[in-house]
Amino acid sequence: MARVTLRIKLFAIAGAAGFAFFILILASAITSQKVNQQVTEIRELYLPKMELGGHLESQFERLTKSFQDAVAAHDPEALAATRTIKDAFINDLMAASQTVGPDKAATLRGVVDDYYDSAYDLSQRLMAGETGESIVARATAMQAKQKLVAETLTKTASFNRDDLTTAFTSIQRAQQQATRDRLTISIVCVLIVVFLSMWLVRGMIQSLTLLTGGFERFGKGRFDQLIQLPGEDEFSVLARQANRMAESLKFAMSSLEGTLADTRDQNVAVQEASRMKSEFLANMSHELRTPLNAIIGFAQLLHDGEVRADMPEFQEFLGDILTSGQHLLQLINDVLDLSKVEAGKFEFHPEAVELGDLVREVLAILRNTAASKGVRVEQHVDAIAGVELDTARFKQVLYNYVSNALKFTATDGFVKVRITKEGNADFRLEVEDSGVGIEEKDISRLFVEFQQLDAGAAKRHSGTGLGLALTKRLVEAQGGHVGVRSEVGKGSTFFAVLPLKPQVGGPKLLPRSIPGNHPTAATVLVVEDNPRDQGAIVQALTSVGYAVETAVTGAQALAKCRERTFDAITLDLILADAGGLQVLQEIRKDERNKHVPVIVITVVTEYGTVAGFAIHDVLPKPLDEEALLQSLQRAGISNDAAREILIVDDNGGSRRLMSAAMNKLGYKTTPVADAEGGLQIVRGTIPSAVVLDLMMPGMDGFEFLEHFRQMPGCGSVPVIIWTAKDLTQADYARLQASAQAVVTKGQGANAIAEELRAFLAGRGRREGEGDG
Amino acid sequence: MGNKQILIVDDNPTNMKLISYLLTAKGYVVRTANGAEEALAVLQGFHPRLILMDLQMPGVDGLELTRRLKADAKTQDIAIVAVTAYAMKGDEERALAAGCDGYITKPINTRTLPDEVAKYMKDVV
Repeated sequence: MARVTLRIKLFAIAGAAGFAFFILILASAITSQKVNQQVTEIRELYLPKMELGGHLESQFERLTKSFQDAVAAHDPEALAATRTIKDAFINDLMAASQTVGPDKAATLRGVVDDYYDSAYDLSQRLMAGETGESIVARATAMQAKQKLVAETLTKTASFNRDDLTTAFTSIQRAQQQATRDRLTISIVCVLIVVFLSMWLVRGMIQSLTLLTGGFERFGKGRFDQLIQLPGEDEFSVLARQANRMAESLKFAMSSLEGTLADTRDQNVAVQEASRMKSEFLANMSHELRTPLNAIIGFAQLLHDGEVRADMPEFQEFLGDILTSGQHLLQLINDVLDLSKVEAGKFEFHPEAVELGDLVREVLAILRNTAASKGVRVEQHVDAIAGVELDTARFKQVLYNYVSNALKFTATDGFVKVRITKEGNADFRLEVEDSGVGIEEKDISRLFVEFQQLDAGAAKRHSGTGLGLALTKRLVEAQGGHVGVRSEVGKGSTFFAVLPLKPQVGGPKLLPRSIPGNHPTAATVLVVEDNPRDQGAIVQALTSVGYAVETAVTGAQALAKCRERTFDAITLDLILADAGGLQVLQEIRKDERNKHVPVIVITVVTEYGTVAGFAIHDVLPKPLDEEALLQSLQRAGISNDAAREILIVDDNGGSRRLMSAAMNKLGYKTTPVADAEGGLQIVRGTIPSAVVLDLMMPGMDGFEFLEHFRQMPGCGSVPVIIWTAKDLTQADYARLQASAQAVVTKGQGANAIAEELRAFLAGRGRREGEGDG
Repeated sequence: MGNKQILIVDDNPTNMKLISYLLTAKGYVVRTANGAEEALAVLQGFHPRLILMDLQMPGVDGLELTRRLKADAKTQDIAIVAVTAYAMKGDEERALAAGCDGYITKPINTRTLPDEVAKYMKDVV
């Protein structure tokens, strides 16, 4: 059936109008024709009548004349001939009896006959020579009859005023009828056209109303109710486009809201940072003025002679000036260092060192302090070759740790300094003390400027309050990290992990390998190019005992995957040289790591919250059935009837395609058009696997995954991502942002180790059950 | 000749030593307290005419202690002069709002401090 488009409808209306007009003209012509006919009829009716009158009159005249002639000529033959004339007259009259009316004709005939008889009789008598009064009487009678005929003739056969009136009236009536007819037809035509137009336009108006309503809603920002306008005409097309626009807008608005929320958070963070800077300045002002107070004050006293040289206070006060001066110097140095490190202007001068020597040097400085407190100091330094670092800074860090340890450790306690190798590329420094320990709530204040823990007022001033803050900065600037473990009453262990060869100033990460806690520990490949994020992930994994290898680019990841099989892979979505999902596809092509579980990572906060979304596989669109089959086999998904595969994709065509392909392979499927619906279904039945589109309006793939993974029993369900073949940078950024957003507002990012463990356990279980 | 007792409340011993020496040399009776708690304890048996209050102390800070003392009938009449290194806008206002009778900035000028102190040591009629 042809599309009933607007164009067709408009043509229809025009056509109908034209046709109506044509009908009107036709009607007009017909009615005019009818009037003409009437006029002609009338003419035919009255013309003979008009002619007849004259004709009969002349004939009668002839008759009367013929009588006169016959009498004058005394011709009896002529007299007999009058009968012929009279008969002819009567014939004509009878012939026209219709015209004049039969009654009238009969009357006229009667009087004519009467006259004739009278005239004939008279004429005979006159020709016979009769005279006298009877003749006169007869003549008079005959003239009276003649007069009667003439009158009757006039009445009967002539065309008079009544006839005229009748004729005009007829014509008028005919005209009126014609007008009425034309009017009727016009009205009918107009009504038909109007109704036709209204009927055709009604649909258009309905569509327009729906569209207008829809646009109004969209204008107000309500994108949830789309315009329902099925069909194939231009309005439906417009509606579909409008709906698409609405969805884009909705998505744009929600990303905007997301960005806005992020910006607000950032704003809060920035304001917090600003506030902390102000606090820092205020503290610094105070800290600097305090020793200065002592210096100037005592110097004034001495200078003004308040204290004389022979008084004991003299020496004492000079000593105070000296110590305060030194304290001030230390303070200024620390603050300057801190600023320099923060501004990135700190210069490190790494050189090859023997860690053992450095430790011994620092401990030597503090030996007296330790001895006077009765604290035992031990050192265990592993022999590590190839260490390069900035000597002064390292000693500063070590000194800071050890002097703190001594400060907080009582007599008969101990302080142990340990240095061990960490992984392939780092070493770990630990300073353990048997001191008072640190409470949980205070740990966050430790590495912050000027925050000194209350260890008694007297102890407060043997430090600048900047030591740990500076230590943290120094270590991190060299590519390491710091931390502390502590137990109240038992003691604390401060540690710093530094690279064997420091990478300073925007380090370009080299891939590294870190062994696990035992030789058969599972090895995870961490693919992440951001140093801080990589550090966080590696930390999360190694702290629970996994062995880790890192890769910074997609190419590196592939190279490593070709060397060996990993137990799991964590994957950053956005790498410098390739999109994460693309890398995964490539990895899957290689025999070795075809079956390895992959976790797409999102690292979020300052404190290294790491979240992972375990994805079994990534399939590109358009669908490759072979690839699908392999993926399903890899996942070990059995096709028993009890459980179905959930397909989540907003595109109807894709859903049907995937469903059909799956069914062909013997799997039962449950297709659903949006993530919300998918979650709803999962609450009822856990699927045996999920095929998930990432880019969907409303709740997208990552959000779905986040909710999905937290549902009981869904932790190890394989998820196959099925997405467009080439995701653009913008797409990846969006996925990343979405994943981050999801994690930020989620109940708690799944610890990546948890995710991995669940995944590996699930996989093991499936393998144990045997292939389906 | 009136109350010549002064209490110095500060968490820095060196500071207290300085002021204490200076004022003792001028004839005042000076006691020191390291922090708010100690100050309250000392005030149990010592009623100074003037308290030199360091505002930046850990724990209960000088402003808080000032408020408490000014609210307490027993200690209301003691003049309190704030001693502080803060030189930021609003500090002076806050000190006065808390009830301080005066405000001195660190570093202290030993040459002028005695005269300033003398102002507050006048007897109240």
